[in-house]
Order: sequence, then structure tokens, then C-alpha cells
Amino acid sequence: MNTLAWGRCPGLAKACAPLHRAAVSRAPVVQVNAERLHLGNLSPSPGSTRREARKGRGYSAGQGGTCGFGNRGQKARSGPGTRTGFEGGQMPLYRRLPKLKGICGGMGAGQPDFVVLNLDKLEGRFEPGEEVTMEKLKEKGFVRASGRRRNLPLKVLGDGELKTGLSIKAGAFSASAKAKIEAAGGQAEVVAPRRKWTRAGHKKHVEALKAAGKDYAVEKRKRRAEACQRKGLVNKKRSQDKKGKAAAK
Amino acid sequence: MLAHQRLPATSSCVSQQPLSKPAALVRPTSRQQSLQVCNSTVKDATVPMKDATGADKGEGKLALKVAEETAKGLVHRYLVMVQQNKRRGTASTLTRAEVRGGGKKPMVQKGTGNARRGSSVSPLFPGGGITFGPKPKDWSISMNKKERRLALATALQSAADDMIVVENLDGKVQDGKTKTLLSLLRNVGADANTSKVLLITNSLETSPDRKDTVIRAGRNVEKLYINTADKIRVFDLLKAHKVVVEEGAFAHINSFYGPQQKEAAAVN
Repeated sequence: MNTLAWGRCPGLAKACAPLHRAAVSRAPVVQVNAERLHLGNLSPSPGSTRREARKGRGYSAGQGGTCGFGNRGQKARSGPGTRTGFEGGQMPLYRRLPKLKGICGGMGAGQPDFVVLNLDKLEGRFEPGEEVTMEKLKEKGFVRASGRRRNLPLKVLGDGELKTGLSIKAGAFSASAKAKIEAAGGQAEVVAPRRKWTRAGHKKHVEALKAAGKDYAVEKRKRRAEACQRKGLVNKKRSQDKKGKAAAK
Repeated sequence: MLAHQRLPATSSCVSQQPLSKPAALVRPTSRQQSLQVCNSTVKDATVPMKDATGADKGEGKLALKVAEETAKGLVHRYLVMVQQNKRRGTASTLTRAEVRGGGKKPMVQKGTGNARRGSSVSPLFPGGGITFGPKPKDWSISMNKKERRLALATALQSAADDMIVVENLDGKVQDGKTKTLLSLLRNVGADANTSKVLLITNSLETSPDRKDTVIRAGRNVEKLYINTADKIRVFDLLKAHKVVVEEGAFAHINSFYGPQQKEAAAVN
């Protein structure tokens, strides 16, 4: 079972000569077709594990008396010592330097207002004349927006070429993108951003529905169901069961 | 042969003859050059194929993409991951802050002749808190998907010598009887009464009947472990003396863990 084979030296006869003549810097590796791997003969790769330092177990162990904490003082005591960034009372670095502009300084102003998409990402992915919206892009996986970006509007930028005429609906277009889209025979339509929810606005909406003879709660449920249907989140079997039961009654 | 044994190299070691004992390599010369011996798995093995009665049906080729020098360490890491991820980490004890009671000083500071006591939930008291006891903890560790698959493929390939491929078991254990399955296994050369046997069946997606036939028949046998092709457990694989693989599962293993790994939905 133990067959000798040269792991990194395919030419065996050739490999043997330099072994004797010149000093070989790296030890040749011999691979042995070893016994089958089973529970009893597995071990970590050499060098991948290290023995834990046993602190305070005698001087000869290397970490005996003070366990690497030195002699006396705040840092020799139990607990973490001084807080991170503390420089002994001197004005620390993180306070000595001015804050940065934008998001690096903790300001929201520098954060993006749009999810951007260049024209080359649209090319070849839609049929000529097809309508392109943010929802469609997300559905197809061309735009992945999560976290804060989830609710941001789309802005189309003009990198790359667009040959197919698409009717694109987005929150904004760059001038070059708009020119290219129209040159390709498509339309660049700016859609209104999502309206921010306000209490007053909501009340107005509910009253408008009432005046039209509709109930807000019912409308809301309907809208959610539609959204679920669109995203394919409906458990068909279950909804069928319900229908079946209702019919039976 | 132990991995990473360091041996001095001589000209005699540069022969391709199979050696019964690698120790035969040790013949020091004036210019000693250390050799590093690595563990590796056998490549591209042939596996006997049999039908349900145990008659020969030719041979199958097991050619998986395996780790070479790192085989042992990789499989070890995979096994450790699998076992550690089983830990629920729910062991929990109360510290002295969490034990109920203990507000009142048990006895006055001086004059009783007893030791000084400040609280009845001190770790020194019976019923007191536990010092440095276990607290709920997430023990899970992760491993890259490609590493996991490579590790399992390595373990499978290394088990090739103990592997037997058996024809598809459609209709062979139709009664779901333990006796039927065990005699079938004995016929193909794997006695689950005397040795540990891993049976890898077709996945339930391709052969849903396995659940009511093979798996039902074999689930109560102590030394028989039944896995499906898409969920092979490395622990069972490393533990088993014999590995019996259904033909469909064998094809799946070869395609999924082979050199041109096809994308397929698998848990491993």
C-alpha cells in the first residue's frame, strides 16, 4: 500500500541527481499512499495549531511570576487597564485631529442619495422597447440594494453603450445617460420619489379613501397580498386549501 | 505511515518500487537531506460493482477532486467543524449575581467565632453562585463551502478500498424488512452485524421510495449508517469499515465531487 512517489519532483531519475550534487534548499516531499483516513488517524496540519501558553505555572514555563504583565502599576492589575486610545492624559490622537468631512466624520450628508446603475449594465439584458423600473431590476437581480440602500431611488448613469431602445423609469438620469437612451430610441422618464410618510398625509389619504367608499384597512391588506403575489411569496397550496374549505362551507 | 515524518534522503530512496516499510528509506549518508513525508490519498481508484445478490457487475471508477498534501489536516478540520457545530451550547449556571437571595449579611462581622461572611450566595457557600461556570455560548465554526466539499471528497476517495458499489435498490427492499436489507448487504460483502457499514443511497429527491424501504429497514441496526447521496455525513464515513454505495449515488458522487464539479443543490 505504501507507494513511494515524489510529490513535487515528477521526474524521479532527474530529481535524484541534484539531491546529491548540490545543496537543495527545500526538502523534497515524498507522498505516501497512506492507510485510509478514519476517525483514529486524523490530526491537524502541522503548524496549524499551537499549544496554549500556561500562565503562572512556574518560572520554567516562561510565563511564571507576572504572566507577562510586568511589575506593578495599573496594567499589572486585573482588568483591562486603561481604555482604548488613552495616552496617559495627553490629548489622544483621536481627539487631536479634526473630524473628517462626510460619512467618515459621522455625517449623513456624505451618504449616497441614489442607487446608481450604468448603461452598460442594461445593455443586452432587456428586450427592445421593454420598460425598465427599479422593481424589475431588483427582481432580476441586476441591482442588489440592501440596508439603507433598500429604499433609495435609482439613478441611471451614462457609462458604456446602449443600443436597444428602452423605456426607463428612474429617480434621476445623468445628462449623458439621457442623451444615450434617447439616441438609442428609448425614453428616460423621471418618476417621483417615494413619498415620505407623515401623519397629516396619512390622514388625508384615509379620508380620501373613505370619500371614495373604500376602507383603508381592506385596501392595505389587498395591497400587501398583491405584493406577496408579485414576489412569489404566496403558499399556493395553503391558499387553495382555504378556498376549498370556504367552498365546502 | 505517519505523515510528516522526517527522513534522511539517500539515493536508494529514489526508486519507484513499492516499499513494504518506508523505514527502509533510512540510510544516512554524509550529506543528509531531510525528506518530508506527506500523507496523500489514492487517486482514481476502481471500485467493484455488484448486483443485489452479490454477483459481479464489473468495476466503477472513483475519481474525485481530492486534497493531496493537506488531506489529513483538511479532513480533520472538517470533522471538528461538524462535531463542534453539533454543540447546542446551552449549558448555563448562575453566578453569585444571579442566584436568588443573599442580601442579608449571614452573621455579624465580629464576635461569633465563625469566619467573616458577607453573603449567603458567595461561591464558597453551598447553594451559592458558580465561579467561572458555563454560560450559553455559540460554538459554531465555519468552513468554506469548497473546502468542505474537498474534505468530504478526500474522505470518500480515501475510503475507495473499502467501497462497494451496488446496483440501484429499486424494488430490492420493497418489504421494508431489516432482514432483507441485512442479507442483501451480506451478499455484497458488508456484514452490518459484525462490522460498521455505511450505506449511501440515492438521494430522496431522485428516489423518494428509499425512505419507506431501505432507510426504514436499516434504521434500527446499530452498526449500519444510512446516508443519502446528497447528505453524506463525514463522521459515518470515517467510522465505517465498509462503504456500500448505490449505483445512482455513486454517479452523483463522481459528478458532484469529481474534477469538473457540477453545480447541484447539496447540503454538504
